Amino acid sequence: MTEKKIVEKKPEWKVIIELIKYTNPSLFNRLGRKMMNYLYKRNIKEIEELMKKMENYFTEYQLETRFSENQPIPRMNQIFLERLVDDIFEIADRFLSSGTIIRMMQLWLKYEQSRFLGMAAEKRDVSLIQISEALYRFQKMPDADKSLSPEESMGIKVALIRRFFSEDLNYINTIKKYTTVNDFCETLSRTIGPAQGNGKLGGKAAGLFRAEKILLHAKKDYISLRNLSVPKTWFVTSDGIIDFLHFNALEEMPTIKYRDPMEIRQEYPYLEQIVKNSSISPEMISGLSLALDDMNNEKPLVIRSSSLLEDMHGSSFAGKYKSLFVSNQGSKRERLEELISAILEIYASVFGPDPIEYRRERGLLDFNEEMGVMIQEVVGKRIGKYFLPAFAGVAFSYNEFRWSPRLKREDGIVRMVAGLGTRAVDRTIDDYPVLISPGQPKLKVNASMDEVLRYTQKNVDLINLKTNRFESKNFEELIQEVGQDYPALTQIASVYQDGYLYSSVGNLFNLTEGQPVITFAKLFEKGPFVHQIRDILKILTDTLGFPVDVEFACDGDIHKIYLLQCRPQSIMDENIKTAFPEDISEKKILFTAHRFVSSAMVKNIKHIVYVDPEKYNAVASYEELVKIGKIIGQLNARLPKQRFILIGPGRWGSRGDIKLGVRVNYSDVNNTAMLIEVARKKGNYVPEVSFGTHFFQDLVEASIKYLPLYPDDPEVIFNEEFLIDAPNILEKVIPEAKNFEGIIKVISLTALDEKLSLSVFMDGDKEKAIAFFESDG
Amino acid sequence: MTDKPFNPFKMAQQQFDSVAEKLGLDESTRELLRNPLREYHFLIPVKMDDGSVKVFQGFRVQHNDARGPCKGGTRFHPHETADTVKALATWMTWKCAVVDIPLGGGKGGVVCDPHHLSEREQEGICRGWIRQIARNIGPVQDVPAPDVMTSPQHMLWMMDEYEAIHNGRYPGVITGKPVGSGGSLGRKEATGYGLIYTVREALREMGVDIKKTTASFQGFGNVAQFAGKLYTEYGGTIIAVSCWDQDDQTSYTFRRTSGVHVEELLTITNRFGGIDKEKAKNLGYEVLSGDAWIEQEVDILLPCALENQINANTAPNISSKVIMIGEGANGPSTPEADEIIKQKGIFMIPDFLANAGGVTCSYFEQVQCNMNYFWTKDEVLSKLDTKMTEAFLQVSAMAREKKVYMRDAAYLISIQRVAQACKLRGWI
Repeated sequence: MTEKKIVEKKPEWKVIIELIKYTNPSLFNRLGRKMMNYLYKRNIKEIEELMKKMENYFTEYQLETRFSENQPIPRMNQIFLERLVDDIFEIADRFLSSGTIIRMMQLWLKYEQSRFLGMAAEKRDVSLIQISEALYRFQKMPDADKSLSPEESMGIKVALIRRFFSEDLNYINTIKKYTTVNDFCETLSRTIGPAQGNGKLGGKAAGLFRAEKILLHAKKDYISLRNLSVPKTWFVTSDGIIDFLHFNALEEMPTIKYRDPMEIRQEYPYLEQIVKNSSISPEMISGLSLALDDMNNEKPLVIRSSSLLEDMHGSSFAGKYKSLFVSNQGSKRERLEELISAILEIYASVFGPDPIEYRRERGLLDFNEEMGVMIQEVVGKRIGKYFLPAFAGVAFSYNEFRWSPRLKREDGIVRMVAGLGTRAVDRTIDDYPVLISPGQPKLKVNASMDEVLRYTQKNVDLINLKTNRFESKNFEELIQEVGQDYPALTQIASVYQDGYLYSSVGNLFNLTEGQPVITFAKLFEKGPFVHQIRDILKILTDTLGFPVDVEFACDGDIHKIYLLQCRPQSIMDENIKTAFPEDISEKKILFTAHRFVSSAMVKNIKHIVYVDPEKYNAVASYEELVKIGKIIGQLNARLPKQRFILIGPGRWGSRGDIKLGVRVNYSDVNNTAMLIEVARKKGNYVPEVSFGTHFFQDLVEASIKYLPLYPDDPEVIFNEEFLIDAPNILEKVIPEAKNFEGIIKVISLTALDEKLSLSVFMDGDKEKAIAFFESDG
Repeated sequence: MTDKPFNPFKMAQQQFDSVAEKLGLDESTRELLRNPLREYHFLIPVKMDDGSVKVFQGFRVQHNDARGPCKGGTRFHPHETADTVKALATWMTWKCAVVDIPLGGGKGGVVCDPHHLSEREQEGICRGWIRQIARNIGPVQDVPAPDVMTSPQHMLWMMDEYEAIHNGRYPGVITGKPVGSGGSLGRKEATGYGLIYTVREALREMGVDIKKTTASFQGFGNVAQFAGKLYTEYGGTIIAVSCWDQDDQTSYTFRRTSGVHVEELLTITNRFGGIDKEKAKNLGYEVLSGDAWIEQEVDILLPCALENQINANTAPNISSKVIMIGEGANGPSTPEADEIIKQKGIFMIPDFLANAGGVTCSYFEQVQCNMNYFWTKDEVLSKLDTKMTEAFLQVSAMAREKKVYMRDAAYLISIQRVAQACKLRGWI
């Protein structure tokens, strides 16, 4: 009876600790250490003393065993450690209530349950299957998210980020703050790859994951982001391609990159077919089959490359690897075949001439490039036999092509289109996406009706579900066919009738008498889009500390916006900043500029075409002025492409008063590397430069660099003497233009000195530009 | 309105001086007509979107209103100068007079570039412009219209501001408004139809059956499309049209000797008058070089595109079969070309008569607005026919009477009309 009483008095925790001590000594040690830390945090003096005693003891022990610093510390007896834990719990017993101790032990034991996850995650080169299983187990645990201590949770997150996304410390540092372990469970539950492999998800996936998590985190503070989401995405790990090469005995392929560029280019079409006719391992097939089951078969899929090198800061690889659309229609077998074919094509693109050239230029050739793949549901709606988003596009933090001096670089720029975003992402030759600066959306590129109509998007990219093909369809014809079923049509289009552009009143559109024109007028004015995109750019830029390039789409519900991709904005800044030449002697400088500078670099210029502003102004005959434009067109056709620049007065391509600038068409200047407009003071007034002229968008589409010069500004260097004194080769290039030698000057740098060339560096950040001669070729 | 280099006002004055000489006008009349009656220069302060205030410079020039309220566009242009505006106002006076509509000439503008302005700021400029000039314009004083870089939207803002100041509905204060908001039907057709009305009358005078004629057009924009439509309705046969190709950045001539079918061609033409080459070939058109239009063996040449297209280089290529040129465009023939045309004995319908259908329709818009009763399209076009026919007959009578070139006759008649009006009023 008495004995029973004593047993009863012994607190429950003591019984448990006793049990653990004999059954699981290592757990016993860990609990002891946790309790010691807990007591220490509560400033219990006794524990401090115990720790001090321990320290002394260690030192004595080391002295006794004649331990020297240069040899391993001798191991202590387990019995000693047990005694230490006993002491710790004795102190705990004195200072803590049984309730507290039991509560803490429960918590620690709970943490113990998810130890497997931490162990799995922290293992180097842990295989996909191991980590997936551990995460699955963790996810299935009751109260999974409470079973990790904050430190452990952080540790696991960091390990997972490193394992699957990036080892870049900046990346890890940012993303760890915005994720939970559960986020990884979700992502990895949609990841396919060689089970024993240790591939990553690749750059594009990492970029999207990071942006999504940052923006989700910001949701609570920004109303505009309430309806932001990311389309359902599956991932194929980057080592899938290695697995594929092994499976098809194509191991020698990665060495192709060291071949002669010409040879690569010639062989590529053949090579691409070899890859497309190979097969993938049954393991991958079953993974992809699983993905297809999970995806909505109503929606087409876009297969995006996500290579290890892609989207790294400083090398965006924008447009170098492929993104392919598949219709995802038909039987499961057909869908699977279509998907595999697309993935193989992306695999092939790793060995394509353009990406290899790009890597060679950036010194990335020796990197062991692997290719991850993202399989994403296409955002959009089905209308009739077509599938397309209402609109889509790409947004940049920095506006490098400001069409008005009132725009700031930080106002950003969006290129957007109706339908699939492909038209906005790629430069188009004969079609125009709508440009808008989210910081100042009201300053439009096109001011007159003629410009609005001329520089509007004509064709829409979409997926034809009947033919299972990606198609471009004339917008007007499409609207004739589908009418107001086009998602959010009233937001996207205006109706042109009798010389007037009508926005819809409410939802009514008179499509029978007028023609629809893509303007986004109503969306920009009344819709949430401008706020959404402005906030997205701001949050990402502020959080990441660098400008970004974001792809988005909308399925027709204009309050909802989908994020498709996010990568660092490829600005040449990095190169320019490091290379911006500072100590160029004035003799070598052709000009400097401090206003409206965007970031760009133009090198190896061999010819300068200079239309003398004063002489131009003195030309009396209208016909002669027109002729000057024609001669420029001829020079454009005859001088080596991208190796010459045009310098002239005021507005190039002026359509109004010809005196404002040389009258040229886009095709008269399309081969120049750069267009420079000299704005000289005339009395009190400086002629306006090309911001906003009608062919501005053509320049954007062709990536022709543009710079206004203000030679009369203080501190600006403009080496007019060189331009005037250098020999003129105009007659040599165009014999019939001899009479214009006084006005148009063509300077061949090579003729002056074989190695001489001109370089132009433009730093948009600091608003400075410099053009100087280099003589090393 | 022709795009001329150099001080355009000086040029307009020179033109006037030479006609005044022929007419033997007295010194005071010359003094009065070679300068605008009134010129307004004012400032327009506008609150910008960023809260700052920007001050814009505005103009309105009323060259002469002896025959009726002034009429002329209001332009937004960063390099607007008083000289340009004065010249354009002068030409408007002659143009209105030649078609004998009871209007004078005016022109206005604001020094600004809409490319750097938001819509709200542009609205501010429009309303500010009206606030400064509201007392000096109006349905019975001076009637502005759209011009370079101003649109129907700008006109509606201006009208709204004017009506707010004058407390009433005065749609006739401005033209170029959309149909339904005070605009007139038939505006699209007006210039092209007007051109063909004059061609029809010229042929009738020459005793040539229009049904037996052939024509070649330069351009396939709004003017050429409607002119072509009416011309074929009258039974004429179009052999060729030329147009600008945006993709190739050059122009082409489309020829089908069996006859160009305008409606058919329109199905393969874009909004800017560009014809699809491939589709045209499939329809049996030959695709020739851009200047081939002028060399065609046709009876009538109708330049409806750009200025200076018939010049010293191209005019000699005109076929000897050609009996008539109708200038649908502004300034398509250079003075050197005029000489060649005279030598070849080709009948000329000069631009400011031939393409005056546009301004006549603006006049109709104003008339309809003032009585607040709008005509059907047929009514508009039949009144246009009457007006253009009458105008043509008078110019051609003058040409015969004075034995002068049609272009000179048109100037003579218009300046004489304005001088006459000033005289009757007792001004001179």
